[in-house]
Amino acid sequence: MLEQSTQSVIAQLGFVSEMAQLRERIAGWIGNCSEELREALEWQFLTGSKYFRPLTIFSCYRAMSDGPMPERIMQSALVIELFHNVSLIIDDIVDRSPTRRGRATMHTKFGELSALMTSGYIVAEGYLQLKDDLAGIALFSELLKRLGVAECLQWRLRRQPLGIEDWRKIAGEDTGSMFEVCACLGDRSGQLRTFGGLLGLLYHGCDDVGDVKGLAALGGGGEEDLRDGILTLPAALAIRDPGTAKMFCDPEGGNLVELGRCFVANLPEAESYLDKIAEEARNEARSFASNPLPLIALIEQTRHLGRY
Amino acid sequence: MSNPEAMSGSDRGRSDRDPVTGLFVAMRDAWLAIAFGEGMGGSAATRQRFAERGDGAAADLPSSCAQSSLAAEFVVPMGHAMMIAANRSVSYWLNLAQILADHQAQSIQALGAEGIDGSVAGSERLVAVDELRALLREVGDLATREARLLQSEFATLAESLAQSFQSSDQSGPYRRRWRSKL
Repeated sequence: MLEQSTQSVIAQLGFVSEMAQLRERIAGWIGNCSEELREALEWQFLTGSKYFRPLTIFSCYRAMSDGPMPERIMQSALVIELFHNVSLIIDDIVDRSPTRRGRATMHTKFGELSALMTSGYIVAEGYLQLKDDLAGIALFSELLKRLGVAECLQWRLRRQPLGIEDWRKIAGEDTGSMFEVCACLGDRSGQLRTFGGLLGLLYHGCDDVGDVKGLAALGGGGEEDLRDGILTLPAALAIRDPGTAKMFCDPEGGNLVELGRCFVANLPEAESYLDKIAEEARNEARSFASNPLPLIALIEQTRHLGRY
Repeated sequence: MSNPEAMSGSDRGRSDRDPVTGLFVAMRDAWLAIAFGEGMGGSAATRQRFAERGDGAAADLPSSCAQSSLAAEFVVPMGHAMMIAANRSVSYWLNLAQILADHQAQSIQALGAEGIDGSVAGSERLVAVDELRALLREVGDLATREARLLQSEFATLAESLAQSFQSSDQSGPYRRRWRSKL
Protein backbone atom coordinates (compact mmCIF):
# COMPACT_ATOMS: atom_id res chain seq x y z
CA MET A 1 0.00 0.00 0.00
CA LEU A 2 2.84 2.34 0.95
CA GLU A 3 4.83 1.41 -2.15
CA GLN A 4 1.71 1.96 -4.28
CA SER A 5 1.04 5.40 -2.83
CA THR A 6 4.65 6.53 -3.39
CA GLN A 7 4.49 5.21 -6.96
CA SER A 8 1.24 7.07 -7.54
CA VAL A 9 2.82 10.35 -6.35
CA ILE A 10 5.77 9.75 -8.68
CA ALA A 11 3.32 9.22 -11.55
CA GLN A 12 1.17 12.19 -10.50
CA LEU A 13 4.20 14.50 -10.52
CA GLY A 14 5.42 13.12 -13.85
CA PHE A 15 8.73 11.70 -12.63
CA VAL A 16 8.30 8.10 -13.85
CA SER A 17 11.06 8.32 -16.46
CA GLU A 18 13.43 10.17 -14.08
CA MET A 19 12.92 7.43 -11.48
CA ALA A 20 13.57 4.73 -14.08
CA GLN A 21 16.76 6.58 -15.06
CA LEU A 22 17.78 6.76 -11.42
CA ARG A 23 17.31 3.00 -10.96
CA GLU A 24 19.43 2.39 -14.05
CA ARG A 25 22.15 4.69 -12.73
CA ILE A 26 22.22 2.90 -9.39
CA ALA A 27 22.44 -0.50 -11.10
CA GLY A 28 25.16 0.82 -13.43
CA TRP A 29 27.09 2.28 -10.53
CA ILE A 30 26.98 -1.02 -8.60
CA GLY A 31 28.18 -2.82 -11.73
CA ASN A 32 31.33 -0.66 -11.72
CA CYS A 33 32.05 -1.08 -7.99
CA SER A 34 34.55 -3.51 -6.49
CA GLU A 35 33.51 -7.15 -6.85
CA GLU A 36 34.34 -7.65 -3.19
CA LEU A 37 31.46 -5.38 -2.13
CA ARG A 38 29.06 -5.90 -5.02
CA GLU A 39 26.82 -8.46 -3.32
CA ALA A 40 26.44 -6.26 -0.24
CA LEU A 41 25.67 -3.22 -2.40
CA GLU A 42 23.06 -5.12 -4.40
CA TRP A 43 21.53 -6.33 -1.13
CA GLN A 44 21.29 -2.74 0.12
CA PHE A 45 20.26 -0.87 -3.01
CA LEU A 46 18.31 -3.03 -5.39
CA THR A 47 15.15 -3.64 -3.38
CA GLY A 48 12.63 -1.83 -1.27
CA SER A 49 13.66 1.83 -1.54
CA LYS A 50 10.84 4.38 -1.80
CA TYR A 51 13.24 6.93 -3.37
CA PHE A 52 11.52 9.68 -1.41
CA ARG A 53 14.67 11.80 -1.14
CA PRO A 54 15.38 11.78 -4.91
CA LEU A 55 11.66 12.53 -5.37
CA THR A 56 12.12 15.57 -3.10
CA ILE A 57 15.06 16.79 -5.21
CA PHE A 58 13.06 16.38 -8.44
CA SER A 59 10.02 18.12 -6.93
CA CYS A 60 12.05 21.06 -5.64
CA TYR A 61 13.65 21.47 -9.07
CA ARG A 62 10.21 21.38 -10.74
CA ALA A 63 8.78 23.84 -8.19
CA MET A 64 11.25 26.47 -9.39
CA SER A 65 12.09 25.52 -12.99
CA ASP A 66 10.50 24.03 -16.10
CA GLY A 67 12.09 21.87 -18.74
CA PRO A 68 13.93 18.55 -18.68
CA MET A 69 15.82 17.49 -15.57
CA PRO A 70 19.47 18.62 -15.92
CA GLU A 71 22.36 16.18 -15.47
CA ARG A 72 23.39 17.91 -12.23
CA ILE A 73 19.98 17.11 -10.69
CA MET A 74 20.12 13.44 -11.77
CA GLN A 75 23.61 13.22 -10.29
CA SER A 76 22.42 14.74 -7.00
CA ALA A 77 19.51 12.29 -6.88
CA LEU A 78 21.89 9.35 -7.22
CA VAL A 79 24.25 10.64 -4.54
CA ILE A 80 21.47 11.47 -2.04
CA GLU A 81 20.27 7.87 -2.36
CA LEU A 82 23.84 6.65 -1.73
CA PHE A 83 24.30 8.86 1.34
CA HIS A 84 20.83 8.04 2.68
CA ASN A 85 21.71 4.36 2.55
CA VAL A 86 24.95 5.05 4.44
CA SER A 87 22.86 6.60 7.23
CA LEU A 88 20.56 3.54 7.21
CA ILE A 89 23.47 1.09 7.46
CA ILE A 90 24.99 3.00 10.41
CA ASP A 91 21.59 3.42 12.12
CA ASP A 92 20.92 -0.30 11.85
CA ILE A 93 24.27 -1.12 13.42
CA VAL A 94 23.78 1.40 16.25
CA ASP A 95 20.17 0.32 16.88
CA ARG A 96 21.09 -3.39 16.58
CA SER A 97 18.20 -3.78 14.13
CA PRO A 98 18.01 -7.28 12.62
CA THR A 99 15.70 -6.33 9.74
CA ARG A 100 14.81 -3.39 7.50
CA ARG A 101 12.19 -3.26 4.75
CA GLY A 102 11.24 -6.82 5.69
CA ARG A 103 14.69 -8.38 5.13
CA ALA A 104 17.97 -8.78 7.01
CA THR A 105 19.99 -5.59 7.54
CA MET A 106 23.41 -5.36 5.91
CA HIS A 107 25.36 -5.99 9.12
CA THR A 108 23.16 -9.00 9.96
CA LYS A 109 23.72 -10.52 6.53
CA PHE A 110 27.37 -9.61 5.88
CA GLY A 111 28.76 -8.76 9.33
CA GLU A 112 29.57 -5.44 11.00
CA LEU A 113 33.02 -5.04 9.47
CA SER A 114 31.69 -5.40 5.93
CA ALA A 115 28.78 -3.07 6.68
CA LEU A 116 31.08 -0.36 8.08
CA MET A 117 33.63 -0.65 5.28
CA THR A 118 30.89 -0.67 2.64
CA SER A 119 29.38 2.52 4.07
CA GLY A 120 32.80 4.24 3.87
CA TYR A 121 33.17 3.02 0.29
CA ILE A 122 29.73 4.44 -0.62
CA VAL A 123 30.63 7.88 0.78
CA ALA A 124 33.85 8.01 -1.24
CA GLU A 125 31.97 6.89 -4.36
CA GLY A 126 29.30 9.53 -3.73
CA TYR A 127 31.86 12.33 -3.81
CA LEU A 128 33.41 10.87 -6.99
CA GLN A 129 29.99 10.86 -8.66
CA LEU A 130 29.60 14.61 -7.96
CA LYS A 131 32.64 15.35 -10.17
CA ASP A 132 33.00 19.16 -10.46
CA ASP A 133 29.71 20.10 -8.78
CA LEU A 134 31.31 22.20 -6.03
CA ALA A 135 28.01 23.50 -4.63
CA GLY A 136 26.75 19.90 -4.46
CA ILE A 137 29.93 18.78 -2.68
CA ALA A 138 29.46 21.55 -0.10
CA LEU A 139 25.83 20.53 0.47
CA PHE A 140 26.65 16.83 0.87
CA SER A 141 29.46 17.70 3.29
CA GLU A 142 27.02 19.80 5.30
CA LEU A 143 24.63 16.85 5.35
CA LEU A 144 27.15 14.28 6.62
CA LYS A 145 28.40 16.64 9.32
CA ARG A 146 24.90 17.49 10.54
CA LEU A 147 23.75 13.87 10.51
CA GLY A 148 26.77 12.91 12.64
CA VAL A 149 26.11 15.71 15.12
CA ALA A 150 22.38 14.85 15.27
CA GLU A 151 23.03 11.20 16.11
CA CYS A 152 25.39 12.17 18.95
CA LEU A 153 22.95 14.82 20.23
CA GLN A 154 20.04 12.39 20.16
CA TRP A 155 22.02 9.76 22.06
CA ARG A 156 23.33 12.25 24.66
CA LEU A 157 19.82 13.58 25.33
CA ARG A 158 18.15 10.16 25.78
CA ARG A 159 16.15 9.42 28.95
CA GLN A 160 15.93 13.08 29.90
CA PRO A 161 12.76 15.01 30.76
CA LEU A 162 12.88 17.37 27.76
CA GLY A 163 10.18 19.12 25.75
CA ILE A 164 8.79 19.50 22.25
CA GLU A 165 11.27 22.25 21.43
CA ASP A 166 14.10 19.80 22.14
CA TRP A 167 12.41 17.26 19.89
CA ARG A 168 12.23 19.90 17.13
CA LYS A 169 15.93 20.62 17.51
CA ILE A 170 16.94 16.95 17.29
CA ALA A 171 14.52 16.11 14.45
CA GLY A 172 15.51 19.31 12.61
CA GLU A 173 19.18 18.30 12.62
CA ASP A 174 18.47 14.64 11.85
CA THR A 175 15.80 14.15 9.18
CA GLY A 176 15.40 17.92 8.82
CA SER A 177 18.98 18.35 7.58
CA MET A 178 18.51 15.54 5.04
CA PHE A 179 15.47 17.21 3.46
CA GLU A 180 16.94 20.70 3.73
CA VAL A 181 19.87 19.50 1.64
CA CYS A 182 17.51 17.74 -0.81
CA ALA A 183 15.62 21.03 -1.28
CA CYS A 184 18.87 22.95 -1.82
CA LEU A 185 20.11 20.34 -4.30
CA GLY A 186 16.88 20.62 -6.29
CA ASP A 187 16.80 24.42 -6.20
CA ARG A 188 20.29 25.82 -5.88
CA SER A 189 19.06 29.33 -4.98
CA GLY A 190 18.40 28.29 -1.36
CA GLN A 191 14.83 29.63 -1.49
CA LEU A 192 13.39 26.23 -0.52
CA ARG A 193 15.78 25.41 2.33
CA THR A 194 13.23 26.22 5.05
CA PHE A 195 10.58 24.22 3.20
CA GLY A 196 12.96 21.25 3.13
CA GLY A 197 13.61 21.57 6.86
CA LEU A 198 9.88 21.58 7.60
CA LEU A 199 9.29 18.58 5.33
CA GLY A 200 12.05 16.71 7.16
CA LEU A 201 10.60 17.64 10.54
CA LEU A 202 7.21 16.39 9.35
CA TYR A 203 8.72 13.15 8.06
CA HIS A 204 10.55 12.56 11.35
CA GLY A 205 7.38 13.24 13.36
CA CYS A 206 5.26 10.96 11.14
CA ASP A 207 7.91 8.25 11.57
CA ASP A 208 7.74 8.67 15.37
CA VAL A 209 3.94 8.46 15.33
CA GLY A 210 3.99 5.48 12.94
CA ASP A 211 6.40 3.66 15.26
CA VAL A 212 4.10 4.13 18.23
CA LYS A 213 1.20 2.85 16.18
CA GLY A 214 3.28 -0.30 15.81
CA LEU A 215 3.61 0.06 12.10
CA ALA A 216 6.62 0.16 9.86
CA ALA A 217 5.05 2.43 7.26
CA LEU A 218 8.11 4.68 7.06
CA GLY A 219 10.71 1.93 7.26
CA GLY A 220 11.46 2.19 10.98
CA GLY A 221 10.95 -0.48 13.60
CA GLY A 222 9.69 1.37 16.66
CA GLU A 223 10.72 -0.60 19.71
CA GLU A 224 14.35 0.57 19.61
CA ASP A 225 13.49 4.19 20.40
CA LEU A 226 11.26 3.14 23.29
CA ARG A 227 13.91 0.79 24.68
CA ASP A 228 16.73 3.38 24.40
CA GLY A 229 14.73 6.31 25.80
CA ILE A 230 14.99 8.36 22.57
CA LEU A 231 13.03 11.61 22.56
CA THR A 232 10.32 11.07 19.93
CA LEU A 233 7.33 13.38 19.38
CA PRO A 234 4.85 11.18 21.32
CA ALA A 235 7.49 10.82 24.06
CA ALA A 236 8.01 14.60 24.32
CA LEU A 237 4.24 15.06 24.72
CA ALA A 238 3.75 12.15 27.14
CA ILE A 239 6.55 13.05 29.56
CA ARG A 240 4.90 16.33 30.47
CA ASP A 241 3.11 14.08 32.95
CA PRO A 242 5.46 13.58 35.96
CA GLY A 243 4.63 9.85 36.32
CA THR A 244 5.39 9.13 32.67
CA ALA A 245 8.56 11.25 32.85
CA LYS A 246 9.77 9.12 35.77
CA MET A 247 9.23 5.90 33.77
CA PHE A 248 10.87 7.40 30.68
CA CYS A 249 13.97 8.53 32.58
CA ASP A 250 14.42 5.21 34.40
CA PRO A 251 17.95 4.02 33.39
CA GLU A 252 16.86 0.37 33.77
CA GLY A 253 14.29 0.77 31.00
CA GLY A 254 11.35 0.40 33.41
CA ASN A 255 7.93 -0.73 32.31
CA LEU A 256 8.06 -0.42 28.52
CA VAL A 257 4.52 -1.71 27.98
CA GLU A 258 3.04 0.92 30.28
CA LEU A 259 5.27 3.61 28.76
CA GLY A 260 4.07 2.57 25.30
CA ARG A 261 0.45 2.98 26.49
CA CYS A 262 1.21 6.52 27.68
CA PHE A 263 2.68 7.35 24.28
CA VAL A 264 -0.41 5.94 22.52
CA ALA A 265 -2.63 8.15 24.71
CA ASN A 266 -0.78 11.19 23.37
CA LEU A 267 -1.14 10.27 19.68
CA PRO A 268 -4.09 12.62 18.97
CA GLU A 269 -2.06 15.58 20.23
CA ALA A 270 0.96 14.40 18.22
CA GLU A 271 -1.21 14.21 15.08
CA SER A 272 -2.49 17.71 15.70
CA TYR A 273 1.08 19.00 16.15
CA LEU A 274 2.06 17.34 12.85
CA ASP A 275 -0.89 19.02 11.14
CA LYS A 276 0.53 22.37 12.30
CA ILE A 277 3.96 21.54 10.86
CA ALA A 278 2.32 20.44 7.58
CA GLU A 279 0.49 23.78 7.41
CA GLU A 280 3.74 25.69 8.03
CA ALA A 281 5.34 23.73 5.18
CA ARG A 282 2.39 24.47 2.84
CA ASN A 283 2.65 28.20 3.61
CA GLU A 284 6.38 28.10 2.95
CA ALA A 285 5.81 26.36 -0.40
CA ARG A 286 3.11 28.85 -1.45
CA SER A 287 5.28 31.83 -0.47
CA PHE A 288 8.57 30.84 -2.08
CA ALA A 289 7.95 28.43 -4.97
CA SER A 290 6.96 29.52 -8.48
CA ASN A 291 4.94 26.31 -8.72
CA PRO A 292 4.10 24.99 -5.23
CA LEU A 293 2.04 21.99 -6.40
CA PRO A 294 4.86 19.38 -6.42
CA LEU A 295 5.88 20.50 -2.93
CA ILE A 296 2.34 20.30 -1.59
CA ALA A 297 2.07 16.77 -3.04
CA LEU A 298 5.20 15.82 -1.07
CA ILE A 299 3.67 17.20 2.14
CA GLU A 300 0.43 15.30 1.61
CA GLN A 301 2.34 12.10 0.85
CA THR A 302 4.45 12.43 4.01
CA ARG A 303 1.43 13.23 6.15
CA HIS A 304 -0.40 10.27 4.62
CA LEU A 305 2.44 7.87 5.54
CA GLY A 306 2.11 8.72 9.22
CA ARG A 307 -1.59 7.92 9.16
CA TYR A 308 -1.29 4.22 8.26
CA MET B 1 15.44 33.85 -9.38
CA SER B 2 15.33 31.29 -12.10
CA ASN B 3 12.00 32.41 -13.49
CA PRO B 4 11.21 36.06 -12.77
CA GLU B 5 8.05 36.14 -14.83
CA ALA B 6 6.66 33.14 -13.01
CA MET B 7 7.60 34.64 -9.67
CA SER B 8 5.89 37.84 -10.66
CA GLY B 9 2.80 35.79 -11.41
CA SER B 10 3.00 34.05 -8.06
CA ASP B 11 3.37 37.43 -6.36
CA ARG B 12 0.18 38.59 -8.01
CA GLY B 13 -1.58 35.43 -6.86
CA ARG B 14 -0.47 36.13 -3.32
CA SER B 15 -1.70 39.71 -3.55
CA ASP B 16 -5.14 38.55 -4.59
CA ARG B 17 -5.46 36.51 -1.42
CA ASP B 18 -3.95 39.05 0.97
CA PRO B 19 -6.23 41.87 2.18
CA VAL B 20 -3.28 43.87 3.51
CA THR B 21 -1.68 43.84 0.07
CA GLY B 22 -5.00 44.82 -1.46
CA LEU B 23 -5.14 47.87 0.80
CA PHE B 24 -1.64 48.94 -0.19
CA VAL B 25 -2.31 48.36 -3.88
CA ALA B 26 -5.28 50.73 -3.59
CA MET B 27 -3.09 53.28 -1.76
CA ARG B 28 -0.39 52.98 -4.42
CA ASP B 29 -2.89 53.47 -7.22
CA ALA B 30 -4.25 56.57 -5.53
CA TRP B 31 -0.74 57.89 -4.98
CA LEU B 32 0.26 57.24 -8.57
CA ALA B 33 -2.89 58.89 -9.87
CA ILE B 34 -2.10 62.00 -7.84
CA ALA B 35 1.58 61.97 -8.82
CA PHE B 36 0.90 61.70 -12.54
CA GLY B 37 -2.20 63.84 -12.43
CA GLU B 38 -0.21 66.74 -11.01
CA GLY B 39 2.18 66.59 -13.92
CA MET B 40 5.19 64.91 -12.44
CA GLY B 41 5.73 63.50 -15.87
CA GLY B 42 7.09 60.14 -16.85
CA SER B 43 7.50 58.30 -20.08
CA ALA B 44 4.27 56.68 -21.22
CA ALA B 45 6.26 53.81 -22.67
CA THR B 46 7.99 53.15 -19.36
CA ARG B 47 4.70 53.29 -17.48
CA GLN B 48 3.22 50.89 -19.98
CA ARG B 49 6.16 48.48 -19.74
CA PHE B 50 6.11 48.50 -15.95
CA ALA B 51 2.36 48.16 -15.76
CA GLU B 52 2.53 45.03 -17.90
CA ARG B 53 4.68 43.44 -15.21
CA GLY B 54 2.85 44.95 -12.25
CA ASP B 55 -0.79 44.99 -11.36
CA GLY B 56 -1.82 46.99 -14.40
CA ALA B 57 -2.68 50.05 -12.33
CA ALA B 58 -0.30 52.42 -14.08
CA ALA B 59 -1.67 51.54 -17.52
CA ASP B 60 -4.84 53.53 -16.83
CA LEU B 61 -3.00 56.75 -16.07
CA PRO B 62 -3.70 59.79 -18.25
CA SER B 63 -1.45 60.02 -21.30
CA SER B 64 -1.34 63.82 -21.09
CA CYS B 65 1.59 63.61 -18.65
CA ALA B 66 3.96 61.88 -21.02
CA GLN B 67 6.87 64.27 -20.68
CA SER B 68 10.09 62.44 -20.03
CA SER B 69 12.19 63.06 -17.00
CA LEU B 70 14.75 60.81 -15.40
CA ALA B 71 13.23 61.28 -11.93
CA ALA B 72 9.79 60.24 -13.12
CA GLU B 73 11.15 56.99 -14.56
CA PHE B 74 11.68 55.88 -10.99
CA VAL B 75 8.38 57.02 -9.52
CA VAL B 76 6.41 53.86 -10.33
CA PRO B 77 9.00 51.31 -9.17
CA MET B 78 9.76 53.36 -6.06
CA GLY B 79 6.07 53.46 -5.26
CA HIS B 80 5.91 49.72 -5.74
CA ALA B 81 8.95 49.21 -3.50
CA MET B 82 7.44 51.37 -0.78
CA MET B 83 4.23 49.39 -1.00
CA ILE B 84 6.09 46.10 -0.68
CA ALA B 85 8.07 47.33 2.33
CA ALA B 86 4.98 48.73 4.03
CA ASN B 87 3.05 45.55 3.31
CA ARG B 88 5.76 43.37 4.84
CA SER B 89 5.93 45.62 7.87
CA VAL B 90 2.18 45.43 8.46
CA SER B 91 2.19 41.70 7.81
CA TYR B 92 4.95 41.26 10.40
CA TRP B 93 3.05 43.12 13.10
CA LEU B 94 -0.24 41.36 12.35
CA ASN B 95 1.42 37.93 12.46
CA LEU B 96 3.30 38.86 15.63
CA ALA B 97 0.01 39.82 17.26
CA GLN B 98 -1.45 36.49 16.15
CA ILE B 99 1.46 34.54 17.66
CA LEU B 100 1.20 36.43 20.95
CA ALA B 101 -2.56 35.83 21.04
CA ASP B 102 -2.06 32.11 20.35
CA HIS B 103 0.40 31.78 23.22
CA GLN B 104 -1.44 34.08 25.64
CA ALA B 105 -3.61 31.42 27.26
CA GLN B 106 -0.73 29.06 28.01
CA SER B 107 1.49 31.86 29.30
CA ILE B 108 -1.21 33.12 31.67
CA GLN B 109 -1.78 29.55 32.85
CA ALA B 110 1.93 29.12 33.56
CA LEU B 111 2.26 32.45 35.34
CA GLY B 112 -0.99 31.86 37.26
CA ALA B 113 0.21 28.51 38.58
CA GLU B 114 3.28 30.17 39.98
CA GLY B 115 1.30 33.12 41.35
CA ILE B 116 -1.01 31.04 43.55
CA ASP B 117 1.49 29.40 45.84
CA GLY B 118 4.75 30.91 44.60
CA SER B 119 6.17 27.57 43.55
CA VAL B 120 5.80 25.37 40.52
CA ALA B 121 6.37 21.63 40.32
CA GLY B 122 9.35 20.55 38.20
CA SER B 123 7.23 19.13 35.39
CA GLU B 124 5.02 22.24 35.23
CA ARG B 125 8.09 24.43 35.08
CA LEU B 126 9.41 22.35 32.18
CA VAL B 127 6.11 22.75 30.32
CA ALA B 128 6.16 26.52 30.92
CA VAL B 129 9.76 26.81 29.73
CA ASP B 130 8.95 24.73 26.64
CA GLU B 131 6.01 27.02 25.92
CA LEU B 132 8.20 30.11 26.22
CA ARG B 133 10.83 28.57 23.94
CA ALA B 134 8.14 27.82 21.34
CA LEU B 135 6.98 31.46 21.53
CA LEU B 136 10.53 32.78 21.06
CA ARG B 137 11.17 30.42 18.15
CA GLU B 138 7.97 31.42 16.40
CA VAL B 139 8.73 35.15 16.83
CA GLY B 140 12.25 34.62 15.45
CA ASP B 141 10.99 32.47 12.57
CA LEU B 142 8.40 35.12 11.70
CA ALA B 143 11.04 37.87 11.46
CA THR B 144 13.22 35.68 9.24
CA ARG B 145 10.30 34.70 7.04
CA GLU B 146 9.10 38.27 6.50
CA ALA B 147 12.68 39.35 5.72
CA ARG B 148 13.02 36.54 3.16
CA LEU B 149 9.70 37.51 1.58
CA LEU B 150 10.84 41.13 1.40
CA GLN B 151 14.10 40.07 -0.21
CA SER B 152 12.28 37.84 -2.71
CA GLU B 153 9.74 40.52 -3.65
CA PHE B 154 12.46 43.17 -4.05
CA ALA B 155 14.45 40.78 -6.24
CA THR B 156 11.38 40.30 -8.47
CA LEU B 157 10.85 44.06 -8.62
CA ALA B 158 14.52 44.67 -9.44
CA GLU B 159 14.31 42.11 -12.25
CA SER B 160 11.20 43.80 -13.69
CA LEU B 161 12.95 47.15 -13.42
CA ALA B 162 16.03 45.87 -15.22
CA GLN B 163 13.89 44.46 -18.05
CA SER B 164 11.76 47.62 -18.30
CA PHE B 165 14.77 49.88 -18.69
CA GLN B 166 16.69 47.73 -21.15
CA SER B 167 17.18 49.83 -24.24
CA SER B 168 15.86 48.30 -27.43
CA ASP B 169 19.11 48.56 -29.43
CA GLN B 170 20.71 45.94 -27.13
CA SER B 171 18.76 43.25 -28.92
CA GLY B 172 20.59 44.03 -32.16
CA PRO B 173 24.04 42.78 -33.11
CA TYR B 174 26.71 43.84 -30.71
CA ARG B 175 29.05 46.48 -32.13
CA ARG B 176 32.30 47.02 -30.44
CA ARG B 177 33.41 50.62 -30.20
CA TRP B 178 37.01 50.96 -31.06
CA ARG B 179 39.46 53.53 -32.05
CA SER B 180 42.66 52.76 -33.86
CA LYS B 181 45.83 53.55 -32.03
CA LEU B 182 47.99 55.88 -33.97
